[in-house]
Amino acid sequence: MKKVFAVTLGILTAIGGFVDIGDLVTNALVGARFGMRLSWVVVLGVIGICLYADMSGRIVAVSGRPVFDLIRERLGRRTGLVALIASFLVTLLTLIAEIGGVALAFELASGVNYLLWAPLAALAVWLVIWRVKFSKLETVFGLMGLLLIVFAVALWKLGPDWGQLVHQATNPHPTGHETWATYAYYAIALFGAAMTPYEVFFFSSGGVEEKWTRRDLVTERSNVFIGFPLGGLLSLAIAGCAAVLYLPVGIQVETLGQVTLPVAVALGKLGLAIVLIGVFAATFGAALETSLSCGYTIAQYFGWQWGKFVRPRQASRFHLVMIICLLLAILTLMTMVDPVLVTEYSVVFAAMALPLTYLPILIIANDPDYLRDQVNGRVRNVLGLIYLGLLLVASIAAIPLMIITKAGR
Amino acid sequence: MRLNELLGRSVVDRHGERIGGVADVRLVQDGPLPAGGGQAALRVDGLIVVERRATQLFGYERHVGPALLRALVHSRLGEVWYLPWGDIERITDQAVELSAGRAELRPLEEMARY
Amino acid sequence: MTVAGKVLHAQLHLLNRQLIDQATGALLGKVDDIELDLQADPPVVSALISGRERIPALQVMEIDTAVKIVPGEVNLTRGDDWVERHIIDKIPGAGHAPE
Repeated sequence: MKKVFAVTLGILTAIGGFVDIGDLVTNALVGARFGMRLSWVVVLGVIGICLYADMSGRIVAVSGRPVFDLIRERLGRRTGLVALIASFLVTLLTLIAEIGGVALAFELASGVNYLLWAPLAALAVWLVIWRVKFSKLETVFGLMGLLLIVFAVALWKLGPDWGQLVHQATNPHPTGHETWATYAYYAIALFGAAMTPYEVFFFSSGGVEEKWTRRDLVTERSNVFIGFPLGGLLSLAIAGCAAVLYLPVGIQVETLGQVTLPVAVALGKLGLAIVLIGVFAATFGAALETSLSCGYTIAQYFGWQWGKFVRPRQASRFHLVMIICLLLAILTLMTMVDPVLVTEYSVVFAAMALPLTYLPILIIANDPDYLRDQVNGRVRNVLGLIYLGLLLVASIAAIPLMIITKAGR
Repeated sequence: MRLNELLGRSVVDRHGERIGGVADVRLVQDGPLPAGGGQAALRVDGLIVVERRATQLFGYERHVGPALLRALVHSRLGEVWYLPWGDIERITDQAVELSAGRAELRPLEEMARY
Repeated sequence: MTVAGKVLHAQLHLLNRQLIDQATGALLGKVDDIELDLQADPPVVSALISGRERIPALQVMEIDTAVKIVPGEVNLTRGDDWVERHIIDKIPGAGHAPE
């Protein structure tokens, strides 16, 4: 019975935790400009993250070592360093975006400017990391994030022309003013939002924090293969809401307020309250995950003691790294850069770093020294290689497309 | 001598021709037992030599998947040989000198599949 | 064949591995280099190098997905100790287990 509870909890956490500021902003943005014509990217991204999160989970359940720890062992010190720098910078950028998202959620709820909330948000994130147990932190914010299901409810309540939405999804090409260049650019952004590197680092380090063993493989698999796809459906609902409200009138989504407006329109003040709590929980949860991931990646490359399973003073450099990252986040936001803009850039840069992140995972998941009898089968390897190819294409195309489309304008 | 100094070092035959580079060192745990008890020492059994300049094997000297990556890594490395310690004439600052020629090297695949 | 057995490849199985204190499970750093005594007969691994520290071979207890050692007199926690003393300990709650 306890096992069933643990599995359900994990699934719910995965759904709630899967959607962060990157998914919220990018899906709404895409829905407003392309309707559901980029849905296939969300599906592709969900399959990809399931594939690789399962590999990372398996690696940690059988070997007791988290994925990033092993990247230096497998790639060597120099290539491992390149992977570290790329992953760390992308994760830091994502952290800044998430703290910005928390601040914006507070601004929407209170009317007080987000710049005043940003330092408080960072401080709150630090306090939770400092004092709250890992499992509690994950479950509380994961479950609260589940409130974002209100997007699906709102979509249904808005009474859209479902036929039209399906038509858009099955006609994946740009229409109206949009060009193939912007279409491709946003496909890459959506891909990056679904498969952000920190997700696998966090998932696999979390396996150590929660002391997973082989017996937890079943839990791990259900979390991944049920939780993430349901999270993907949530992403599609966010895009759908924006498609219904903004696409017909050609309004572009540029603020968090616009992302949440469809829910207010469909479900009134109650809906707005629920979605704001959901957005807060999802972005705050993601801020926790990205700060921890900043700490995990650096500490695991250098071999320092890390983890919330020891007291802070036993993992001093790990905690210092996270404090510095949160301070950097505050400083960056204080320059009054638009957090939504930071988010848009963070997902594209995430897409660029993806091949470097996922290649070592594929290599390690085939290594019998770490995984014994649980190495990848042929199907997973074929899929893994196909995805690696896709990631490489997306990564190479990202910068040229960013320049050509002037970052999607 | 440090491992990082040895890795990548050129392997030359008795004529001074470069055959390849040191990619790894094979160790066998059957060396002398320490006086106070404990595990046997790690004896240096031989060197793994690759034909080209790249020295990262990424673990693919073993027969592990995915096959495509293994093939890519091997195409980058060229041939992979095993050089027993006894066949080494001497080690200088620049190179590892063999007492034999290139033709006498055994391909790594021939060794017991480890 | 697993690495805890007889045959190892130095770069594959030892270099860049995580060092763990066998007694406490504490993470102590990575194997940055390996010292080989090639003059000895037979030539053997004489020590592991991590950062500036040298861990003699007989303090290496187990080589598996990580390398378990007995630290002995080797001080591998220098970095963490400095940060702990000068920064982390000044923040309240540093010594508390999370709740």
